[in-house]
Amino acid sequence: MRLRKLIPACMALVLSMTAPVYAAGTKDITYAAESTVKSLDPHDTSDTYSGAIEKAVCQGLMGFDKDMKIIPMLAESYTFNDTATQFTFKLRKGISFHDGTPFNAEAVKTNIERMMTGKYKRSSLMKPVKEVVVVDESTIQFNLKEPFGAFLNTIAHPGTLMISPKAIATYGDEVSKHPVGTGPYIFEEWVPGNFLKIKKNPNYWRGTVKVDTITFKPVPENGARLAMLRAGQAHYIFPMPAELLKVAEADSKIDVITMPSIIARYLVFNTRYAPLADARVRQAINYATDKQAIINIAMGGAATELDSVIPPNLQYYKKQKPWPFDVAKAKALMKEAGYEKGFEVVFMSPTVSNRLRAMEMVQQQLQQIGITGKIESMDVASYYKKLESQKVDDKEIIPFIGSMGWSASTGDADWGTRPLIATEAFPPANANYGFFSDAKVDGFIAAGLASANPEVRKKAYGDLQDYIWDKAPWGYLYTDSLIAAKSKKLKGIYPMADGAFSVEEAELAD
Amino acid sequence: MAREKTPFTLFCYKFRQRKTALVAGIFIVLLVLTALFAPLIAPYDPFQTDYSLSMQVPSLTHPAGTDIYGRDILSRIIYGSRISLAVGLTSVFVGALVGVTLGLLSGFFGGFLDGLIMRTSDVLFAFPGILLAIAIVAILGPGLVNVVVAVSVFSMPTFARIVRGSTLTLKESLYVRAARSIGASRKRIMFVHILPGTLGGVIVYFTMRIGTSIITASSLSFLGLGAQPPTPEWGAMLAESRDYIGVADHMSIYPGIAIFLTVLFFNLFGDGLRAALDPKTK
Repeated sequence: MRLRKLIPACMALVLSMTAPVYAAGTKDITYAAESTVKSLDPHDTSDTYSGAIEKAVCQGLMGFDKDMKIIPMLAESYTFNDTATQFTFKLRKGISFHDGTPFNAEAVKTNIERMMTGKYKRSSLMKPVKEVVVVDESTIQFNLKEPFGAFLNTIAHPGTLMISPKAIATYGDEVSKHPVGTGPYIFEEWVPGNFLKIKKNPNYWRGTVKVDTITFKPVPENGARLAMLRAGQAHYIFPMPAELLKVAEADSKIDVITMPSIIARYLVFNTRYAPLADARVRQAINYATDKQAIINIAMGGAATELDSVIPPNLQYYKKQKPWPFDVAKAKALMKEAGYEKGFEVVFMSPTVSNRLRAMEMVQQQLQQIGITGKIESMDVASYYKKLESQKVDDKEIIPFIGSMGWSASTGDADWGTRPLIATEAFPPANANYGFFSDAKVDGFIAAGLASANPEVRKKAYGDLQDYIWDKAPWGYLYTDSLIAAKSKKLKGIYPMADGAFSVEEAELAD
Repeated sequence: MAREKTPFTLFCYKFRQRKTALVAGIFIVLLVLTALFAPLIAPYDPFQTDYSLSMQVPSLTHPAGTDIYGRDILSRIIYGSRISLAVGLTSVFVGALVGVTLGLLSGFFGGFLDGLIMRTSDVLFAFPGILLAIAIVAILGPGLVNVVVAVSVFSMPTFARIVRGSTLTLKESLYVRAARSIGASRKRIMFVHILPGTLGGVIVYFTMRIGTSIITASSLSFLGLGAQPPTPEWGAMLAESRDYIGVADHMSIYPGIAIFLTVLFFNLFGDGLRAALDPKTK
């Protein structure tokens, strides 16, 4: 069709007028993203996108590899005690920040103590820490208030990246506009809302950086992002809209990269509402939802069925037997629970197109077992505000089935379960919006945190996943696949499972 | 013997001369019939999903294709005409009812009441229409009823102003003075003598306003503030399909055409009415 070609072409034309002109011979990459950069202070950032750019400039003691496995970065090795209350890191020697300040234990202490002031968005990560001790020039020790087995993940979280102490002293909180780290790229310029540019660090400790600059641009409109890539105005776009996959796949200059995320999508049931408090009803809903159809239609195929309470890329994940789509079984369970005639609920979803589509399909499918009701959609902020404003002793109960998504960016099972199903996580404390409560679940979660020993933790979270799967606290749906698209000339940039990305190994062919 | 030219025959004559308005009038009649008899005309149930027919391009069985859930788009557009017309007509009617009453009071009594009503209108005028509607829906919550309220509120001040203007003129006209001199009550003067005289302008604006109201209601639904899925509202259908532009264009083109034609023809119709009611045109 002609129109199909015309629309992207027009968009590309408009965009080309605003494209920067680079000198010939340099390798410059443009990254077109949906979001805008909010801050460059890792300790004071709560969004994944800003965090990912910070990771190109700053590094932490630990980090994640492509598969969300924890790897040592600025630390060389680590040890911990049996009760998971003391963690000691040996640091790499001979590394300096971009401004020449040497990286050492003293620098780590400055950073951690800055976070411990409680002033920053990521200060909560350091909540378990009692004190941080410089043992010698290249050894740092964390003493915790109580056992916290997931502490290595905390140290690998992008919120604990190291900033040059000199930059902190010079700029104070304005360091959010002048980040100085040890990473492969040096921060160059940021015009908020317009673009952000980083350049090659010629003295990078891990080897040679192969591109000269990377420019990050916000392009919120899905079609425009793809048009930029097709016209060569961008080398990498994220997210690549699943709805337009056919267009991208037909273009020979483009590669589409798909990978599973650590985002769990599910239906949260308000268990304070009598019918949804009955496990049989919740099981019936799990039988009555056609997950595969939802993935194919609502998500354009870009998702995989959720087969445990946490997604496969999280640590200690244990696969469960998926709930088959079986309306007859669902009806039988509804009858057994005494709701043969069904009941009414409110289907709540944020106005995010794929989530709303999924909720529409859930509403269509649950009609078959007599669960009916209106869809109530609102913008993301109001939606979560509404969920968060519930209290356990409220007289008024919203009989809702809600759309939920959770990305556990520490990569650990604790953060994938505790905030969502533990009794301590009832709103407003955290995101257990359906008020699910089970003493056994709370026990497993506590056991998982009581040790940093991987075997002990694996057992606790494995048992938790086995136990909770049939309890059906949620309507299990899917794990999003992350889709990025890039120019065939570009290599080495890839999306990470938590929705961030890595540019360290970027390479651009001529 | 020449036929007597009553204002009505004159109006019919002038209106018929404007071909576009005539076409628009026919279209509107058809649209109203479609809305009334939607269940008889629509080939399918607009809510019937069939995932195996997701995003089919237009064919003989589905003349406007199917949407992502495999629902027939033509049937949804036909049912959608009910919603668009109902929302358009009720919101303008409510707006007109309140606006005309306020305008009449304002023009007739003047003084403090006049100041109060007109300054309040000024405040409402200061907002761009759609922004005001979004603000109202944001306060009341999403849903079609609230959209009707929102659109009525922002139709009101214009009606009030039109009626106030003609009331001010008519109040001083000879026949009103004559009525007053023979002791007609204020109520009688307002409703029997002045109100009919203001209606010409009101009718024209009423017709024009329907188009605007339909597009505002669709815009609100497009933004997710109006009709909630699975309601086959045109704006909501556009919102659902916009992610697929370039892949399944038919899903957005047909609801788009429906909105476009409806609004266009209501405006052309209003335009024709204005010309026909204007004593200066021949």
